[in-house]
Amino acid sequence: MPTVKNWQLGRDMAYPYDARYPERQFAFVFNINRCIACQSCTMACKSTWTFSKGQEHMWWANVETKPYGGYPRWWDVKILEQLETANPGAQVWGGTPGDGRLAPYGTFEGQTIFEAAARALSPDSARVLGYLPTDEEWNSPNIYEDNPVGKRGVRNALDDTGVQLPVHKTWFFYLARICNHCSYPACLAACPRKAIYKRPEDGIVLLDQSECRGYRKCVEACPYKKTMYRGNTRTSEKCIACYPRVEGTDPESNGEPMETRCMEACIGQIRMQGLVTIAEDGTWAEDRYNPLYFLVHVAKVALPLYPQFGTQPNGYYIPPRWVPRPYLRQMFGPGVDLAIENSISPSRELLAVLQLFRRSNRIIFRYEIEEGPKIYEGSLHGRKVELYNDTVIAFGKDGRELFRTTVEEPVHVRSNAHANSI
Amino acid sequence: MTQPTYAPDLVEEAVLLAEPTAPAASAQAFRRERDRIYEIVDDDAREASFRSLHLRWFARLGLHRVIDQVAHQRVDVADRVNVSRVVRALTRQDEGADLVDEATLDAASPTPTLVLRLCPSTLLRPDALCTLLHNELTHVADMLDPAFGYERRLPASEDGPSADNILRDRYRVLWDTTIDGRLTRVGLAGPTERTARWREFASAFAMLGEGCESAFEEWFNRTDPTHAGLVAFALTPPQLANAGKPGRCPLCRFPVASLDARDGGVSPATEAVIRAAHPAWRIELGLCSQCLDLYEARQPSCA
Repeated sequence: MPTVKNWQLGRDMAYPYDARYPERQFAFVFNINRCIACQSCTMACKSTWTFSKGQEHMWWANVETKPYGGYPRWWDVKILEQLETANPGAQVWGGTPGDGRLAPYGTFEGQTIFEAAARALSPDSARVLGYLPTDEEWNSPNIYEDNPVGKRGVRNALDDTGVQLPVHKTWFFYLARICNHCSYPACLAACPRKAIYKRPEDGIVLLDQSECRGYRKCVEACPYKKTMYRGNTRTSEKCIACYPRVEGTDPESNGEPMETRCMEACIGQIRMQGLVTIAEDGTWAEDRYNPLYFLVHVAKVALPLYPQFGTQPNGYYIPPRWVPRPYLRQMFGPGVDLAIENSISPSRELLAVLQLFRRSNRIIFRYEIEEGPKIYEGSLHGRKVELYNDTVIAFGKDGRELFRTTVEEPVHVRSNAHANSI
Repeated sequence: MTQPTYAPDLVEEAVLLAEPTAPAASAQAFRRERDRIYEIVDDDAREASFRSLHLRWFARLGLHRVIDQVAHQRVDVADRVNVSRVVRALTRQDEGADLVDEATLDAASPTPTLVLRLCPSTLLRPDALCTLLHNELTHVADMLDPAFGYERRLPASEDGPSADNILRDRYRVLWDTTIDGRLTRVGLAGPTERTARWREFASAFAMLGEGCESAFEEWFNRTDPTHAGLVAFALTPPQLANAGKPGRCPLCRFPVASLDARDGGVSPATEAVIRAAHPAWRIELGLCSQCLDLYEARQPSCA
């Protein structure tokens, strides 16, 4: 099997195809400290792409409660269990998170889903380690997520050891998910028909319906379970990253790249999506003032979801601060501690960049900051804090200014022009 | 009973799930044939070809075998139903058997239609399928047996839908307990059925206290249960009938199996708190345990 460079793992890894990289890559950052699971993103996607017969169970965008829930149910628990079975006790990270772009989270010493499959005995799993979720797992997204329940498979009984925890600290958070448009897609690797491809211009992973013959290998292989089988057409379908919007060919876009429907609909303002420039070796080319580059590689507050799977996902998450670190390290890798430290005490620049979230539905390619006056001085988490009312300016693909906003939320006073004016 | 008919979506999904376990040459042959069908332009012709292919492979992979075997064994059901249909269940909880009313009203076909709802993956687990089918078909046999006296509707309660749900749940657990007992004695129950059923029984009839286990044994060992007997026990378990006065709490008006009977009764201080809220209440009327807890808790803050 060929080897490719996976910068999220800090090493080369086996992958069924030789490396080929797009010019730009569709990527996004979700600040899940802010997500309230309103499901606006979910419904925006559903009402745009998956409202037809045969798509009833499909939610290309979904929000699930962690650690209890998942869509399909237990998707991450199941693939983590499979990896642990394949490589018991050795799914660990080595080294330390560093400053470099090539191994920012250290080095993953365990096996990816591609490597574990190559070592497995069964020829059917020769390409990717995975499983096919059942109807039951697909059918009821979010079921029981807000209910206390007992152990899996035990009816009419609550878990009788839960209350014996030494300290009963409860916690949960909402995890918003779409297809990660991975750099090394497992769905693409598994397809026996080569019906799945990655677009060279923006790295969006698409599934050619005319080539698909419903083998469902992609559904089995995608560790994030974001390819789905449609029974009435007997083909698989997946998130298309609203590519007409990203291309700027959507009628609403006027030729300017727009963010996807799920991003645009986010009322919690947790989402930012963009296009990052990819270097020849597949890493992110340095683009200091692209907001996604800044959040991932400079501020290091946004981390990939389950990087250990090995697909090099292009969805990044600012991890929730209140969640126990071991859980977060398993989910987002060893960069969690630094990410939380940096997001709890944001730098002056980070605070400005965070204001860019959801001020526009246009894709931001570059930002600039105009320094403003100091508006607050105090301490937070034992550190000195200074707030500046900087202005952050967003620019689009053609360099035109999209908008500008300030760190301090502006107050708008409506004129007394109407009877209902406040 | 005639040969069962299978829903196309069940057949297709079962075949697709079974394909990876088939010999490589067979699986390749199936895939070659299936791939070709995608090229058929006409929608109806393509759909018909898919259905025909999946049905052939369903038979070839022997996915109908367990159902045929069990249907052959269960003459108590087979002689009393005309047609049986096997359809797809979306969850394990939906799996089961039903008799369809419409068929019973059809003069030309006086025997009812049996509908089996199964998950496709269950067809790939012969032992689990066999246990499930025997359990469900014993329900159906009871429903068709005049001596059992099955009635579709349980008596409605005056205490509202929650009481109806409690009755239905108790009835289900009781009926399942007798069925598990009967199947265990003829060696057709799964190895864990008794334990699982006891857990359900203990939960549904927790009010029986120490008498719960003996009641379970009695129902598990019963050979000739009747619908009326199950309903009577579910409505008022005998142990409960002797335990106290079922009815409604005079304070909260919620239905209760019995009013509070704890030693010491209601203290004068608590009685005063209750009388403050319910002047017409007298101690002889009693109250439920929840109300007693509530007013005892209120008492110190009032003092």
